[in-house]
Amino acid sequence: MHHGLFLNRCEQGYVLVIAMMTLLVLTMLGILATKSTITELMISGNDRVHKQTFYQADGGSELAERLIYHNAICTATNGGFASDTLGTSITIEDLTLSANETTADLFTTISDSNRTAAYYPYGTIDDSEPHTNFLNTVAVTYTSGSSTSMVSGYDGTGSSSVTATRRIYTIASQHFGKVNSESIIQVKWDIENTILSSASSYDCEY
Amino acid sequence: MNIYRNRAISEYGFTLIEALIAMFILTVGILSLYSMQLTSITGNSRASKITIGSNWAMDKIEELIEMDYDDLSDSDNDGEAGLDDLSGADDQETSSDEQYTLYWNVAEDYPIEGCKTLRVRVQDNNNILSNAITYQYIKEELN
Repeated sequence: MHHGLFLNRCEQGYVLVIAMMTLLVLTMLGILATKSTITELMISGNDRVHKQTFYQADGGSELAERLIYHNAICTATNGGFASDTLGTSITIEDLTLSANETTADLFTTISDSNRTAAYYPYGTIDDSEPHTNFLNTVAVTYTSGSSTSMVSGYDGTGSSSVTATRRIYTIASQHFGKVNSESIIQVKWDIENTILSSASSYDCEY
Repeated sequence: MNIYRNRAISEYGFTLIEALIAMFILTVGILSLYSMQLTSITGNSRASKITIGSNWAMDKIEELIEMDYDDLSDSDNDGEAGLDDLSGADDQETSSDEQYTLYWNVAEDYPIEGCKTLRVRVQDNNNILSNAITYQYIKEELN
């Protein structure tokens, strides 16, 4: 009897303790699982947003090439773009952006406060919304007899002892996407000078 | 002795109630943990859906980027207004794992002359993802 009583005393609260311990372990496991789920969701969400931003910036660099193509023709024939807005959504900061002679490193300097070429897609920009900024610089290659020299800067289409053959543009396209994601693409792109020298004012579309 | 037996009996009953209470608490606890597990499982499957879906979108947009400029056409001629179309998309296909539908739209000469805007939207066929995954690229005409 004594023995039985001793056991009973010992069992008092024992089941409850086991239940609580089990719950504690399961709760720990549950919290761990939830934490890892949150991490997984953040990883996949960020991956998705970053890819989106990357393609916007990459596509932006192609848009910038076309922008410079139009601008180079307009600059050669009409003295630059006629208006500081293009299409429905592009804001032009420099009407003769294809002649920009900046020597600064575009990749490190491009930002919301330094986008002197153009930006889009908003006419009145709201920098908290996704948008793309452009910066560019030009270098002209000359062919002079047998030697080729590269001269930095824009030289117009006037005749001289040397003839400019190609213009090499360095373009930086920066996209700010959702949740503070950011991507910068820098490309080199060139255009034959004959395309510009043979252009007439009718070829200027903007 | 009598007192002893009475105490023993009464303590025996107490343990039974105690066991019931413990079982009750355990059940309530396990039920709430069950819903916690459910949340975590659906969350994980969402994450996996997002990852696979965005890779399908990437696959499709890379394919479109590689295509000839002239082969990309705005088949329903709805331009920039139709870029977000799902049901009336310019073209669509089911992914090879049959879990996603890929839609893509083209806007010609948008945003400027000589550029085409491509937009790929990926919708999850099981509706686990409420929003379509959307990637956009701008392709220029070569001179």
